[in-house]
Amino acid sequence: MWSTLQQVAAGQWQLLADTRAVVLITLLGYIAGLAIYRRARGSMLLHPLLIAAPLIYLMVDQLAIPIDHYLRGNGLLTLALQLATVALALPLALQVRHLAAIWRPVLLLVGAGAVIAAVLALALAALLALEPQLLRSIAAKSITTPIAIGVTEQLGGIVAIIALSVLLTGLFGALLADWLYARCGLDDDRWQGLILGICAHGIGTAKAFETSPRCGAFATLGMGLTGIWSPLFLPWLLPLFL
Amino acid sequence: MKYLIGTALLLLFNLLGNTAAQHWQLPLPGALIGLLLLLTALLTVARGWKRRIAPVAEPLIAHLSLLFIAPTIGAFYLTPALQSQLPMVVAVLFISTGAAMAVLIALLRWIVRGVARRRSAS
Repeated sequence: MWSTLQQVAAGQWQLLADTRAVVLITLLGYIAGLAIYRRARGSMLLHPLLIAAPLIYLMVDQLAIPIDHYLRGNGLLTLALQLATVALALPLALQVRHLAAIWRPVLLLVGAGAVIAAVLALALAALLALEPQLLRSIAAKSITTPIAIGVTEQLGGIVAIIALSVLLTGLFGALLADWLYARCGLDDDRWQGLILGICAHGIGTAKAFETSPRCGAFATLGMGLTGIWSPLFLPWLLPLFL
Repeated sequence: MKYLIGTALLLLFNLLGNTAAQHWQLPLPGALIGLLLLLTALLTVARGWKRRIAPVAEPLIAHLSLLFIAPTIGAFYLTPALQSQLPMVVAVLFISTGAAMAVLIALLRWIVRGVARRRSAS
């Protein structure tokens, strides 16, 4: 155990040691993306990531930086991403009190919902004969990105694709929510939030907070529980579709 | 000082989570195990840590996308075979996300009705 701990600690320190000035490119791209997003008063289709990614690609490409060098040089952010994942314990700890009265329907909905979301995506992808590598890369699409990236690495998928898929899933879920809820007559903001959290993780949660704080709280709960539960069943579910 | 204890706690739980994942060969990301360990601590023995962790946790979570932009750039460097299927991936994501939400609304109806029925029966 002690030697494993030393190994892990050395690996984490290596992430910092590998960090290079290219991390500035990422920061510049993100700041530009965020500035444009805020100037546009937070229109969802202008998600900072959708603006930042092409900008960063242009810079990396024009400066003739090898992509491996760029990726390794962002080690600091990789470590911060792990810390952010651990930090998700805080919003969850603050929201569990909502569980007390209705834990049974909530757990049932999250338990079944996370599986349904993954099955629908994988079945449709298999039906359209997408490459197995792509199936591995989208299985985790309803999980919040920091967890989804770790899960996808273990499923043998491509990190770039899952990061993009999670983003698109969140955007689609948030865009469709109002229309679907109105059509189906779902007006209880607790359930609206929970379903957004299960299907559309962080972006859905941001959308839920616009409806009401209670809606946002349930979305946080849905996102967190889905993030904990999905990595447990995905390794068993995925091979059924490969 | 405001940020130090929170940072140290997050680093510590991330280290513990990754160590546990590697030591027992768990099929979960180490950071997720760190999350679960920290959540357990926050709900039981260490309720007071919430206030210590918040100043570090909140900005990290608020700027999550900054932390995973770098790996997304890899999408511009995929093999042509994979790149040609990306439009289909987008279609899959759109349809399956909408369908999942519709199914969940139906499932919710069924669950809530079941609860109401049991309540009226008792």
